[in-house]
Amino acid sequence: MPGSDRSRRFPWLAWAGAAWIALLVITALLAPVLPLRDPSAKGIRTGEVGRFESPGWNAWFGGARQGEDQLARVVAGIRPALVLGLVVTLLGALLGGVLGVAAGYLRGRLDRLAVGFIDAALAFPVLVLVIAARAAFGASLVVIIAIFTAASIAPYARLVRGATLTLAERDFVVAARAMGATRRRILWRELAPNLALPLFSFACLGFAVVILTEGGLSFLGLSVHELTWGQLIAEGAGEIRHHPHVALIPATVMFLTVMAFNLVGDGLGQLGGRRRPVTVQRQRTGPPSPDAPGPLPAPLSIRNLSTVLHTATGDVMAVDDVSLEVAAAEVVGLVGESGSGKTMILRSIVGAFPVADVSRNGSVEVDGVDVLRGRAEDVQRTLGTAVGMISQNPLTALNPVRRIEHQLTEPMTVHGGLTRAAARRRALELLDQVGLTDGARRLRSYPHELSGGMRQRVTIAVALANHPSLLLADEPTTALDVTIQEQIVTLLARLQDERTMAMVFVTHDLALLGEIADTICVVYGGQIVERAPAAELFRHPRHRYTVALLASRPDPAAPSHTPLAVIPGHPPVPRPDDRGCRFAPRCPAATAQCREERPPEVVDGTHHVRCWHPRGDDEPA
Amino acid sequence: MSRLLAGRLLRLLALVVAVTLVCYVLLDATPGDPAVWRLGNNADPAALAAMRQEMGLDRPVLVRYLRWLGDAARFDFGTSLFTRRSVGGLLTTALPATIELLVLGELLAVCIAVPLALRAARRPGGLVDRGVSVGAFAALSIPSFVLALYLGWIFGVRLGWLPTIVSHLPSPWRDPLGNLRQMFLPSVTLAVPLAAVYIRLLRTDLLATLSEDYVLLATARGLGERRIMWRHVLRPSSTNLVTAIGMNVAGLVGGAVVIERFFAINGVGQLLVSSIVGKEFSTATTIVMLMTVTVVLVNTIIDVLYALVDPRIRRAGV
Amino acid sequence: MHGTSARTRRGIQLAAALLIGVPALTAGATAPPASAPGGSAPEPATCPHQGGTARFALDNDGTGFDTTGAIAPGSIRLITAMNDSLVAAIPGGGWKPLLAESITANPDATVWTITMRPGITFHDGAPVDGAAVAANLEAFRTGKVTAYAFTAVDHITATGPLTAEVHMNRPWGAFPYSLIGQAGWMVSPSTIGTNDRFVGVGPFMLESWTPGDSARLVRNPHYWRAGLPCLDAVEIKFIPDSTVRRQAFDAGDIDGFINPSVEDIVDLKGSPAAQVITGDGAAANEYLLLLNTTKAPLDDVNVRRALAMAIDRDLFIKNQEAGLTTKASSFIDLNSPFAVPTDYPDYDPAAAKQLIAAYVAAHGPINLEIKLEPNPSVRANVDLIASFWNDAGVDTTITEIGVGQSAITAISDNYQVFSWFQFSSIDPDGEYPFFHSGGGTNVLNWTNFVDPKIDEGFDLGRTSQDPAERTKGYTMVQQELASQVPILWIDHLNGVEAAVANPKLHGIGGIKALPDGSPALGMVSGSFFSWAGVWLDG
Repeated sequence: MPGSDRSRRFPWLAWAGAAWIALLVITALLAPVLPLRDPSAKGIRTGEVGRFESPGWNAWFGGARQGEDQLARVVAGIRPALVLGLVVTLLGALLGGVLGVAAGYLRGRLDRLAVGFIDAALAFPVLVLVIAARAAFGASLVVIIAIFTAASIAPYARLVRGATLTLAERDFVVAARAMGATRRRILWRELAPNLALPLFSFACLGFAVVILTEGGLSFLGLSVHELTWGQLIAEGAGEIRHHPHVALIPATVMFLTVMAFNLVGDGLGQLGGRRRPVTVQRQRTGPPSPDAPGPLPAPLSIRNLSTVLHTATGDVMAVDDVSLEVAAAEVVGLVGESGSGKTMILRSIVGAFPVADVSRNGSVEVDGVDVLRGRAEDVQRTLGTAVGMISQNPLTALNPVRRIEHQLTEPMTVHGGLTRAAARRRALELLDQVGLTDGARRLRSYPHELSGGMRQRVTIAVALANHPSLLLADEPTTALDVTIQEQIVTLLARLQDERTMAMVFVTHDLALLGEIADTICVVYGGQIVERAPAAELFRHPRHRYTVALLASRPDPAAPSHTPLAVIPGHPPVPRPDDRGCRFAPRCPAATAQCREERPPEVVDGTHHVRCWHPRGDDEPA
Repeated sequence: MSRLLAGRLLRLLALVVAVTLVCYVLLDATPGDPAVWRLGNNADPAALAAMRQEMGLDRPVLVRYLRWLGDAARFDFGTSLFTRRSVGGLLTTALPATIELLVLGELLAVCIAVPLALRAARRPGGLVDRGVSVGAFAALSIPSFVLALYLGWIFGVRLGWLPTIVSHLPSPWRDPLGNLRQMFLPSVTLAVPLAAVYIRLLRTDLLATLSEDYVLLATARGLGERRIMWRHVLRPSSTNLVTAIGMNVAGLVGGAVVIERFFAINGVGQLLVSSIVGKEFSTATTIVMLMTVTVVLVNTIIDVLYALVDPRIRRAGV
Repeated sequence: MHGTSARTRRGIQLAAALLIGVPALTAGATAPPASAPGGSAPEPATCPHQGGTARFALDNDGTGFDTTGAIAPGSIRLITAMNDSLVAAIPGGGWKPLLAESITANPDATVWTITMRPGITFHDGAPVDGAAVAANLEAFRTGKVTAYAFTAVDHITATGPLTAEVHMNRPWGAFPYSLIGQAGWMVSPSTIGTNDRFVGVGPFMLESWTPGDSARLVRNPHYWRAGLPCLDAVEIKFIPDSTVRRQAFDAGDIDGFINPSVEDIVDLKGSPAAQVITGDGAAANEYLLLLNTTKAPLDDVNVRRALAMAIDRDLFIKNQEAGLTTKASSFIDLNSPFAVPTDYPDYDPAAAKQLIAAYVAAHGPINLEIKLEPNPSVRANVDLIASFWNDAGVDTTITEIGVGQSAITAISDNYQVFSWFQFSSIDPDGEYPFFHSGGGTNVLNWTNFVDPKIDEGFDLGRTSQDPAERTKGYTMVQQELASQVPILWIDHLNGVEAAVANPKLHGIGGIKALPDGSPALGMVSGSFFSWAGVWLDG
């Protein structure tokens, strides 16, 4: 499916913006040699342009009261507009940004001083400055630039300070501080990149505001001596009823310019690798697979599921022809390196992706409900009641600005049909069940007031809120301390057992799965390359990737992106048009066939493997 | 608590003195002589000197400032040199319309911006998003007077639904409907560019929030889009929006001049501009003082709002 | 007279610019009452329909109601609705008593006796008697701002219950004309000098005034003229922007307004939904350029003539005023009985170039600076004039001075050329303070041009009561102004100083009947008119 149309469209608009700016710059530079009329020439005297002449072949932008050629005047206004807009925006954003970061992060006396300055600057009427400065230094562009810059520092500083206040208490900054990073390092490494985005988008607006403010000054007759767009517009304001072109054409040029700068800004932002994630995706679904579902609905039944993410860098085959059946009370483990696609399988079940545009094919049924093609309400109800999901990082899994109570009771009131009071009672029970004491207090807390382990217990409680028949756990322990990992795994195992839930447990830790999983699926390149009952898999691994995983026996404390000990390289980014076996580049046993042809699924009882050359039992690991 | 409050109050006072002093002195440095304006074209030098004395302009600027400050401390803000009305009285007639304009304008802007930004952020680069973006920039680049005149022309002249000027404005408490009818077009005119700014800021922040795990999880929990956007995404994304709203409160007092002019509203903006241009020391300085107090107050409220919007800031004790 | 930037007809001008930019419209000025005897058939002073509230927009507020101070056009317009002057102007350039019953002079015009009508009271009930008249005139004579207009007045005494005598220090035959305007306004003696209320004798009373915003005037139930006024109330709204005034008018938010833009006048003149009312024209302002005649090169009459000849006033009027105004060659309007044809230099670019070239050959290049107050429409005027001069070989620059700086700049002679609006007196004597050199000491003589013939002409017009003598005097003045060119005259603004009303609002301007049935001018300068006889359709 051609999903890249959108990704190409944005740069196109940015190019259009850049072209407009280039046109302006070139026109301004070439103005002396272009066959333009003298912007100050009176057409009514030269006879070239009439009084308020309408735009036409003779004067493209029409004439003003005394027959001034509006095209020539608009061109004359380019230079002051660009110089003023750019210089003020850049200087203001830079100075304001530095001041804001310093005030917001360093706090204390500096902050108080800065806030005082900001308040004073915001309250002080620019008009007084302008009038005084014009009287003292004349109405040159430099004076206006200086005043505008001075006036624009405060808004940037205020904005950046606000954003810094928020960021400074974010976990990553706090963590960096805890690890002893120097202030400067935190400012530049942690804060600056995160502040760049709002600052940038504010600066794009700032450019517009600067140009418009100059227009306002022109309106009051207080602008520069040079001819500016603002002056043209102000001059035309009185004629807008009878001769609208006099004001509207310069206004349109101004609009296009403001627009162009923002389009280019957007484009640059994308080049800078900004993520453009979204919850609400445009999801496309292929036709249903021909297999009829079984008579008894299983908690989870996946058939030939493929998921393609349409990203700015091309399509990614995140899930490739995955089929998986999870029976009631069964624990299925998904294992693989980071980037192998195991998390994407979970996400494909619930339909939550970090990019906007996704296509899913095949079928996913939860308790017999087709969550790919069902009506939105049915799907949401099913996800809300039959599925519980636990994510990898408890620090980011809870909404930082909502109390635990809201987050915990929301699924129950929305899907469980409980009243708020009933939901609250049940929330207390749940907290108790996940081993959190003092539930009433916890309910009133915000996530940041809890430790990592406590937060993960909360997310488990949230997942269990509506008695799901299926629990999806996405590396629920990776981000936690080793001691806590044990507790959480134990807790999950116990809860799964008590409630006879089915569970899909994603991890990079094979050993862990050995303890809890009934069935283990090894995931590589978006595919399940091997699936077998846990004991069988450990005893007779068929796929060489499984073998490598077993051999590497990762240190459970190591982060999940530690490369495999035995095989160099990383999992590939799977593409829809890949040929052959995705593991072939790293496989010690790969042949030409492996690289050219898609490997078949070899089934041996309950043991499935996707390989041209499955490893025999006698083969050495 | 009371010490904290006292400290803040002291800072506010210092700020007010600093800002009004600068304003007073700068105003004194601007060209023009109020005595001449008062006397008109028939002024002879002797009459001018006498008038300057009567107006107190013969004394040094600092003395005049201190005198104003002393009077202001007793809530006597002086009289207009030109109309000889009390500054307090001028402000009482100008303030209500301006405050109403600001409040309605900001409210409208937020009411326009939030739903649109939410819609746009759902699919960045999508049709809605691009439409909203272009619309926002158009809204931002339309000179206020063009908007004001065309709105008036459409709704006043063509359709005859709404008045094009604010005239003998009824009190919002006694005749809310009549009041709103008059204030509607000005508020919309004010709100449109504001909404554009808010949309841009909010959209950027929404996108950042949307990539957070808890948002993906909310989807996984089968919560509807609408619920996710409004309950889960909006609040964590509003810091910059709140900042911008706060900043505008002060900026708009002066910035609404054009709107006041094009709807014939006798507001503080007009009063400020006319008093600056006319070297009305007392009037201009009093308005600046009022703005300073407002800015500090509003920004204090904003700081509190930060904490409400994002509880993580609370422990930092803003 | 109007101050320098008093004109905002098409202004997109700073609201404030006007508030301060419009100093002083004083005695000689324009405040005309409705009604009087004379020319064409006057509208009778009755009301075809009684009652109703008119909503009317003025361009700017004034500064208050102190009749002894400098008073802005906005104030005058409000006051003319609340007051009747002692004297009314009549068509063809004469005067008749209005509020006064009679005004008579001794033979050499050194003592004038004003006799009031019995039974008239101020809005507060105080009687309009001889003492009240004397108190008002005395306050005007001694007022800081107004004294200049009454330099010929020595003292004033109340001589009876209804009479007051004005004693001159030299003959002043034209004295009654000064009582058409500010000097002739009567306010309740206890309120003389107060600025925020107005207690007069006119058809309407000030109910409320919100400076810069609006005023509400209500019917005076004890108005001295039976059957008037027609309206219950007038709601005045100040709308500085002409585009907004027009729009509010089109939307029906106001019944009328003053100072339409020239484009609006052209457009509305053909519209059945509006009436465009212009004044009689005897007292329109002029647009002109003051030349500082004391400094080179403008001390050279040939340069001044060349500058005049360089300006194509027909093109100026066609372009800047949509052809609605008439060329001026002095402050006396064309239909004034004093107007005479003069040889004021007309457009002749070749001759202008020649004169300039001759001067340049002798003295080196000419650089001129035109000053003006910031106002876009005036700026456009000046731009055009500068382009004429540049073509004639004069290097011309334009400098905007601070708002409200005109008077002081002109007084201090700190200019070469000044863009200016003024001279709307009904009788030429009203301009005496601005032209009579006073032997070179008169600071109000903007151009500092000292010319015995001009002084003599103005003195003759002032002292004599004989129309022939006065005509002789003012003819001398006009001819001298035309040959010496201390001022470059552009146009009489009679066609563009206008009011607009919807078809339901009647009785603005025109010729009005005085109490004795004789006609009087209903409007001066297109925007000053009485509200007594204005009425709305039922």
